[in-house]
Amino acid sequence: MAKSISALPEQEQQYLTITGKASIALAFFLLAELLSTVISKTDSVIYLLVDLTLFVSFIYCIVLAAKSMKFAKHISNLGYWALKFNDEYVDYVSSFSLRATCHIMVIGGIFLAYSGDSNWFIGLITPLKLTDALQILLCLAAATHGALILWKLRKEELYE
Amino acid sequence: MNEDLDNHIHKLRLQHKISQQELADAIGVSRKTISTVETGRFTPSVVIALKIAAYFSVSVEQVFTLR
Repeated sequence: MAKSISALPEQEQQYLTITGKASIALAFFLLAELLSTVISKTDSVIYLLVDLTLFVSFIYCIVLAAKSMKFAKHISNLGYWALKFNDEYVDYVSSFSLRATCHIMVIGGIFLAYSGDSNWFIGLITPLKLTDALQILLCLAAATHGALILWKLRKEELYE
Repeated sequence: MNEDLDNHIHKLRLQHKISQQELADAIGVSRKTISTVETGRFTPSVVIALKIAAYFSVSVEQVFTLR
């Protein structure tokens, strides 16, 4: 039986904001992970910065995941797992960002499915591999998801 | 932004001397919903439109009008 909870709109907004931040952190993690495999000089400053970004984004992802868990009691199962909310604007932002993410994944997926093993594409992305290209696509999708949420839920005191 | 829809929520709020947060709490939505509806960046559902009109004790046409 579905859990029926009347969540406060502000709680839904807070939860979606955390989700957006988590997507941005995931994007940074994926990008840093990719860069760390590409950079050959392991003793360079850039490599250290990339490693630091990797570590910080990983920790931040865990912190946000822990933070999001406290909303499990206050938000419906549908909101918690499928990002479907009762508050109209929060739900609009959630579906808008998911739609954009879905489009990026579908378009990128179709492109990689049909051109991923083409010689011109392999030559273009060298020294990256097809799995790295997929990681870039995932990074782009996560960044778009997070950025759209944070942009649409940004604080505005102008019209108070 | 909906170019065809105009609203008078800001004017009604000033008349009733209430903040966006108070209006949001009264009709059970987030402050962000009120803020974005008020600035025309988000078009609300009929339910929210009716709730806002009922809160101010006016008709929906007095809150939302077509340009």
